[in-house]
Order: sequence, then structure tokens, then C-alpha cells
Amino acid sequence: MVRSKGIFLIIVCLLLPILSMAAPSTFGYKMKMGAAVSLGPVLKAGGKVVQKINRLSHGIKRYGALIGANEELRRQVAELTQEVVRLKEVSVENERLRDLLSFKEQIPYKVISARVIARDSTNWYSTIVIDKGTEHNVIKNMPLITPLGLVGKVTEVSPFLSRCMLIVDPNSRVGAMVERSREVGVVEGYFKGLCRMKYISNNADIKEGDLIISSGSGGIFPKGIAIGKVKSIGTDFGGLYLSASVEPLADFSRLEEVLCVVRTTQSSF
Amino acid sequence: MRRPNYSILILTILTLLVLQVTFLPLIEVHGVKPDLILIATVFFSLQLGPWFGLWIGLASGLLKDLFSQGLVGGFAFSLGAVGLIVGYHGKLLYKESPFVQGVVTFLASALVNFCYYGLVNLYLTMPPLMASFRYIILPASIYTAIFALPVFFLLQKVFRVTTHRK
Repeated sequence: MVRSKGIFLIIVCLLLPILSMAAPSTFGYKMKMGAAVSLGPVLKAGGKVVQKINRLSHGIKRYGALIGANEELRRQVAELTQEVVRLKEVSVENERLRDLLSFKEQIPYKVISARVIARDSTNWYSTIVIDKGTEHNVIKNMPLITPLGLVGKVTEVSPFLSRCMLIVDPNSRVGAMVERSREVGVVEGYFKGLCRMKYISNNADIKEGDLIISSGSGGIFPKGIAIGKVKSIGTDFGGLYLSASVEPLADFSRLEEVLCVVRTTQSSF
Repeated sequence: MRRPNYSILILTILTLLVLQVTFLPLIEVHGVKPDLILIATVFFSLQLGPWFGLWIGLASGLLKDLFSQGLVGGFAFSLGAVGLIVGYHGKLLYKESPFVQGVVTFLASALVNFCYYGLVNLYLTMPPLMASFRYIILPASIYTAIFALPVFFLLQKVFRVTTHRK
């Protein structure tokens, strides 16, 4: 009886991935979103605790430096108070000049803020789960950014949660260019939390320390968002192209909140 | 070890899964973290034999697949197979020894990841095998084996595993 149960389980084991490969892609996605929604409240609570642990560890590290800095800051406060009074005068004049020139403030994009509540359960992928979904106007392929730079994009959505792929995931591809020289390439996720920029022209003007930004090609990511800095440069595909190791600017190990960029029209942000 | 209370068993697996997706990323090293689900599968396989190991591996692997981007069923198959193998050979091992627990967990982790890589490579494009071994499989196996020792200790306390002296 036990043996026949075991044989049945072995057959299920073998069939499950085959059925998953043969089934429509929406089958697996619906199962995953159903599981994420069921454990959603627990994950959100876990995410809050993780946030507190992060902040506590930051606080402990900073405590030692804070005591010495306190005295220095008291002296600076006095100097800065006078500076603030002067700058307020400048600000009022600036506002008046803006009105005179009819200068309009431009906000680059409309964004939806979201909190990271869970990460991928394996070491093979780099994905996160955020606490916003279709009920909050989050849609598939929405780019994710932080003040430091590009983070990734939304890949699966449910009413209240979404799964997002980070740019360090091996399946991630982002059209990119070197900010200084405008040389184009494709940034893909690599190992050890790094990215790799590939298909760079052999005679491209690129060097270590160059800032890599999104090129806007492909229509998913807006143009001009910082991705990372070049760490090293090598050749690829037998010397046909250059490839660069890119260290992302966003800190993925401490990601707590992200911003989802909203499209204002079908083709632009 | 006697058959455990199934409610406590399910609660344990779910707790480990929540810890895996929320807290463990805090202790990632170069993008690699230990695998609590694998450690639990190895523990129950060693203690309760191959068929129980197969069942636990299948169920917990499926849970792991649902909280990952990859192929549904990939880890269900891999963990189920490893649960069966470890449970079958567990009779021959001195399972109370931390050294044995570490080595078995290391080998199980490597086998699971190779199995998963081979299976998913049929469906999705995976990174090159040598690079995957160097940056994911080997460091993940070492990290999981080290992490297995305190987790085994805790699971032994929770499920009241007694050592048998002959």
C-alpha cells in the first residue's frame, strides 16, 4: 500500500513539470498568484519586521559616529540658521522670476509607490513581490525605479500583489547606453548581484566608471534612468563585441520601497 | 522518529517558506542564500524514510515553485527525487552526527540544483553550466550545509527526535 502510494507520487513528480511545460503559460502564473495572495498578509507582516530589523541594524551602526558628530552639528546649526534666512530671500525672488518668465515645473513621470514584501524563494532568479496590484493601477511591464536608479519591471499582477523581475535577474534585458559617449548596448542580469552590458561596438568609447543609463529602446523602460556604473570591460563573442560588467546603483539587498512608473500614453511616459 | 503531527509539520514547512522569502535575503552573500525548504526535506527524509521524504519533497518543492519565477514543478520534481534518494540511503548513516548532516545536505543541495538546472534548461534559457556551478550551485550548497546544522538542531527539538544507542 505504502509502496503503491510511493509509485503514484513518483509518477506525479515526473508528470508535474511536463504538464506545466505543455499547459498554457497562464496556468502556472494563476497558480503562483493564487499562492502569493493566500500568504499575502503573512508576507506583508514579515516584510514589516524585516524593515524594522534593517533600520535597527543601521541605527546601531550609526550610533558610535553620532555622538562625535553631534557637537560638530550644533556649531553648524548656528551658521546655517543665518544661511537659511538669506536663502529664503533668494527663494522668494526665484518664485517671482519664475512667474515672470512663465516657467513651468516639469515632473518627469507619474509614479505609484509600493513596498517590497517578499523575494524569490530560489537562488536562480531575482524577483520581488510588491504590495500593489491591478486595484492600484499596476499593470504588467511597468518599470520599477528608486531614487538611486532602475530596479526592474512588473512581470505578473494580481488584484493586490505583483511579482517583479529585477535587472540583476539572468532573464532581464534592458536597452542601455553610456551616458557620456551615447554608445548603445543591452544590460542583462548576471551573477553576484551584478549586470553585464553586451553587444557594445568594438571601437566604442567606454571606460571604467562610466554611468550607464536606459536608452528607451524596446518601449518598456523610459529613457535616461540610471542603471549602474561600469566596473570592468572585456570582449565577447570571440572579440566581435565588447562587454562591460556593470555594478547597479540600486542596493538590491536592502530594497524596501520601489516606485512603479505609469505610462501617460500608449507609447510614452 | 515517530510519524509527526501533520498540522505541526505543515506549519513548520509554511514557516520555513515565509522565512525563506522574507528574512533570508537579509543574509544573502553575493546573491546566494541558504535553502530552508531543502534542509527540512533532508531532515524528514533521514528521519522517516524514502516515501515520506518523497512526499515532503514533492509538497514543499511545489510550494517553493509557486513563490519563484521559474517552472512550476521544477523543484517539486527535484526535491521529491532527492527526498527519495536521501531517505533510501539514510538507513546506512549515523544521522545524529552534525558532520553527516552537513555532508548529506551539501550533496542534496548540489543534486537538487543540478536536477533543477537540467529540467528548466529544456524550457527556459539558463546561464552557462560552468558559470551556474561556480556562482550558484557550489556556494549555495556550502551555505545551505553550514546553515543546516542549527536548523537540524531546532527541528530535532521541535519534533522531539531522540538518539538511539545500541
